[in-house]
Amino acid sequence: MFPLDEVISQLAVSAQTDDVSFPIVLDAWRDVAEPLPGADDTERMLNFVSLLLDHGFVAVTSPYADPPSAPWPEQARGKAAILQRVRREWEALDHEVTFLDLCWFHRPGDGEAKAVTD
Amino acid sequence: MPDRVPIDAARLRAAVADERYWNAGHPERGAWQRWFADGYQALYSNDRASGGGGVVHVRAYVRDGHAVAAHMRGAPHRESRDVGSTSDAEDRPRADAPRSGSSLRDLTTSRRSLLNGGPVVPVMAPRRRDGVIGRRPDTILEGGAGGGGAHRPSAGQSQSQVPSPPVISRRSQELVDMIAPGGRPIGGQQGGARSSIRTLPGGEPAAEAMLQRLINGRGAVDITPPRYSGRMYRLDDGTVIGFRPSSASGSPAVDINIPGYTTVRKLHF
Repeated sequence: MFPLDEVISQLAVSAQTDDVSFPIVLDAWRDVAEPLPGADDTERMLNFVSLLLDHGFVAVTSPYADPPSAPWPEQARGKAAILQRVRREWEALDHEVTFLDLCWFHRPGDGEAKAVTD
Repeated sequence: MPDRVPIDAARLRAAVADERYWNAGHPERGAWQRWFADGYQALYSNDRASGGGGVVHVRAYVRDGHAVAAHMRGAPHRESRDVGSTSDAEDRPRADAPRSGSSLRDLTTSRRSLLNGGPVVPVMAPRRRDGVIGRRPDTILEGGAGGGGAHRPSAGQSQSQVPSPPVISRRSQELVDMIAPGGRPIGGQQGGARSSIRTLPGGEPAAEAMLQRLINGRGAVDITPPRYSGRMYRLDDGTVIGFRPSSASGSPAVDINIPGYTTVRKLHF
C-alpha cells in the first residue's frame, strides 16, 4: 500500500516508457492506502481515474486497437464524458478486465501534460 | 501472508466445524457457508460430474435447543439468499431450489468457461481484515484481475458477502512460474515505476524468445487483431499474451494477462 500521491507518481513514471493499460491502473488503485470517496468500489475506481485525468493522463485506445493508442473521442468532451464511458464499458464487461478492455492511459511529457476538465 | 488459502478436505471439515458455519445467530454465517460451498464446488466438482459425489462430515451440534447428531452430508446447495439469513433451511441441500443466474455455482462455471475448460486449482481468497469473506461481486476483484458484469449478483442479493471463485489454475501457475520463479518477478523495476512492469535486457530477440517460451505447448491461438503489426495469442488457460515490436518508447513489450494474476503485467525489453 502506498500513499495516493506516490501511486499516481508510479503511474506517471511508468507512462514515461509506455502507455499504461487499464488493469495496471486498477492494480494501482488497489494499492492506494487512503480511502477514496465513493459509495461503492466502482465509484471509488472512477474517482481514481478522475484523479489521473487531473494529473494529465489521457484516455487512449489500446495499442492493439485500430487505430492504436488514439485518444478517446470523449477526451475532447471533458472528464465527465470519459468517466461515463469508463463506467459504461466497465459495467458491460463479462470477464476479468484485460489489457484489451476499456482504455489505456497516455501521459504526455510534463511540458505538454494538461489536465482535462469538464 | 499468502494471498490464497488452499482448500482440501481437511480444511473443509474444519470450516464446517467452525462456529460461523453452524451457529445460526452468527453474523458471518451466510458468507461462511457460501465460502464453504464454493470451496466444496472447486474441490469436488469433478467427482460430482462423474457421479461420485462428495460428502463432508458435520459434527454434532445443538440447534434451537435440539441436538443434531454428527452426520455426513453432501455439498450445500448454492442459492441466492440474503446476507445474514438464519434460516435453518440454509444448509440443507435443495436439489429443486431455483438458482440465481449469478450464483457462485454459475460464477465457477463461468470461470471455467473463461479457462476453456482448463483445470482449476481449488484455492480461495483469505478472510479479509474487515471480516468480510469473499469479494464484492459487482466490483473490482481484490487481488485479482478485476472484472465487471460477470460477477454481479442478482437483484436483491447483497453484494458484500459473495465468496470469490478460484482465482488461478494450475496451468496458469506454470506461466506464473516462468515470469516470477519462486514468486520473484523476472527483470528489474524501473525506478519509481509500477512493479508489475518489468524491464529486461536483450531487445527484440529477447522479447521474441520470451514470447515463444510463454506460448509454446500451450494451445496458443493467434488472435492478432487485423492490421496490427504485432501478435497476440490466447492460451489454453485463458491467458492472453500480446507482443508489441515497438511500444510507445520504441522498445518491444510483451503484455501479459494471466487470469487471476496481477504481479507481472508487462515485460519491456
